[in-house]
Amino acid sequence: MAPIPEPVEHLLEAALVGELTVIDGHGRPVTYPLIPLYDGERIYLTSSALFSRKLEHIRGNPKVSLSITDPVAVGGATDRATIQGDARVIEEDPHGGWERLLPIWEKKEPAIVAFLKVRVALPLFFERALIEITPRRVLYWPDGQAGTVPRLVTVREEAA
Amino acid sequence: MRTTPELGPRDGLDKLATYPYAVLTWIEPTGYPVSVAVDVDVDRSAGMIRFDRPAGLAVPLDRDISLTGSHIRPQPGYGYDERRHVTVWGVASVTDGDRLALAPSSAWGWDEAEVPFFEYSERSVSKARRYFDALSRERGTPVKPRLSLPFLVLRSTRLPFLSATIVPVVLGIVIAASHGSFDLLTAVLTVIGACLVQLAINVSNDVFDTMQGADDANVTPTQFSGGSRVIQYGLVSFRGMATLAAVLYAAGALVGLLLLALRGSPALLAIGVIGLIVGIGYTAPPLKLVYRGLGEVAVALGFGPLMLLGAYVVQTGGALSWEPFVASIPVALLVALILYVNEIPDRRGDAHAGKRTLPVRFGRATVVAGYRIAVAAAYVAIVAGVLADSWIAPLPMLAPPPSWPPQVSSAGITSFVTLPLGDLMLDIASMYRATGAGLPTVNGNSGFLPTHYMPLQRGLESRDDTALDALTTFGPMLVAVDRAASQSADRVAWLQRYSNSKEIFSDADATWFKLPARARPASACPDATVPVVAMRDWWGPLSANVLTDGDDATIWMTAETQHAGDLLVLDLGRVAHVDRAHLDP
Repeated sequence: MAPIPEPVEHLLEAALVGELTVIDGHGRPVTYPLIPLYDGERIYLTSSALFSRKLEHIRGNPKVSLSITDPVAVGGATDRATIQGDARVIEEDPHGGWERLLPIWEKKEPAIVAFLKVRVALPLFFERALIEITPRRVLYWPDGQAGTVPRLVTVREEAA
Repeated sequence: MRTTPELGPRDGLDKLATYPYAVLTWIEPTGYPVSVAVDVDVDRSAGMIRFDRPAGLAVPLDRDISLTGSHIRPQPGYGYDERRHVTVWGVASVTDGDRLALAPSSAWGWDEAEVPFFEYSERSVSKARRYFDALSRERGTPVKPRLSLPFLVLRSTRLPFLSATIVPVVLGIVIAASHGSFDLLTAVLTVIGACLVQLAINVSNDVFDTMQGADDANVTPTQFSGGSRVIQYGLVSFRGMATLAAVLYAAGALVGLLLLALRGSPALLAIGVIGLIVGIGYTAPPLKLVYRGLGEVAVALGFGPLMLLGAYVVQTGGALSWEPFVASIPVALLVALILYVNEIPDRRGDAHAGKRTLPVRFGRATVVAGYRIAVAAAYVAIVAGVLADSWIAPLPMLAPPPSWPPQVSSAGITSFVTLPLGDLMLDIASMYRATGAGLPTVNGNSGFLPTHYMPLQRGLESRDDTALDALTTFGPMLVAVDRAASQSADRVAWLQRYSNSKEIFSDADATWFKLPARARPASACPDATVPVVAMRDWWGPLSANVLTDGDDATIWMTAETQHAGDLLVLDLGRVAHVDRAHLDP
């Protein structure tokens, strides 16, 4: 897969929160703040079974976008980006399948490991599905200003 | 209090106004959502949000678009907190030239300052159940949330609450033992049996509460709430919990029958039967004590008198006494208070389910006053019980510091020592006594044994006059020889022999001497050099070579640095005044 532009990768790696937008059954955008987890190729988010409405929407329409807009959540960086892509819900094992991304999650939210150790206190929170986003197009605002035309980058599939 | 994250459009607009910017989102003709951060002007009076068109992007004016505000506060090393977000929807229109305006038609959001995360999660349990139901249908096989077996046992039986059982049972056994009745086997069986019954009651209460819809109605449970919620979470089926309760009851009953066989008594049988009726009837029909406003009384009765008296009669073979009953009162009150405080966050759910708990029936002020009164009553019961039973006398109390005998005057005295030196209790008593008279004391230390203390102790215990000589160079000294310590007669005889000593008083506790001041020798070391005849440390004879060979690794026998407690005895072969030691190979 062709790489996501480097500045946007930096935003993904730094962001404590991003805005995932999915499309509901009425064709309306619904936005959820979530922690973006980037493994260098694809973008992942996790969703607890408790807050699984977004998963229903994705099953109905996999076209999503993820925006990184909050300078406070990216250590002060002022550039902004929106990544459009196709989402896939991975839920073969809601109990533990998502834990393969725990190392990336822990870097952003160290306390999650301690919470997981006492999952008995909130068991359903740790029944989670993964949302895997394959990026298709990136809109990037180097100055973060909506008054500036964004740079558009089409992310191509890598040749097999 | 909100029941869902749905908001009214006006609330959504007001909340969005608190964010520094908003994320404008719409669906592009390609079918993908697109978002861009925009600065917004919120006109509350007009119920309108205005913002500039984003450059290079076409915002649709014929369908719903959204504006989202999102906030977290990063917490390095932890993650983040202060989570909140809000989204408003509406159709945009052109205003003020090229600006866009949106009047929200709907909104939703969450602010953890308003709805704590734990509560938000509990309110979302039905979504999780729908999620697993859908997953099960899709796969054609049941998919359920899971917990590891230890966690599942911990949660479904509410194991940590066993402390409320173990305390009264052990207390009953201890009181019986103090009355001369103790049998280890039945004591252990009593604890096991009581725990099994308690776990059975916990599980069966979940079953009955679920039957009556109480746990489903409670969407604000705390960690300490009555129900385990494993049925609501789908972790254990209703049938599974009912079976578990039956198994635990059967095991508890088996232990109860065994105890009856071993220590059979009508009192034990009666207590066991009443306990079971109260425990099961707490939530189960037809009694449903908690639904009739008798929940707190039932818990107090079950965990107080019934547990304590039950454990007591097992040990005594049926004999009853007032003491375990009196001792059960504070236990009953304090355990009932555990229930009471946890009924407070549950009161809405309890009220909805028809449970007439005290926090449901009374207002805030009465509930708080009730808590205070019950806590005070628990401690009053403890004190009153101790006083009434004259238990104070046999309690092993530390003797008060000895008083200064009126026959002994501290006038003109510079220091004070109690012999033997180095006995912890005597040292402490000596410090108290000297402090009372305003005198410096030789006894005692801060906990870190000073290096000079042990040689002084050894000197005094070997009846070495030079130890007293050294102490009296500071001025006249009082010496109290403790009569209860071993070798006290020998110490007294030594003090009587000591030059110019004066025995001033003696009673059963101590013999008192006054030692005159001695002049400090003009030269502390009248002998120019006194050779060391022998040396030893804690481990035995020691060669001077290890101290004088200049090799750091052999100093003090080990490579370790010196520390408190090390011992080096230099034997000079005769009595000598030593000013300083010089180790020369």
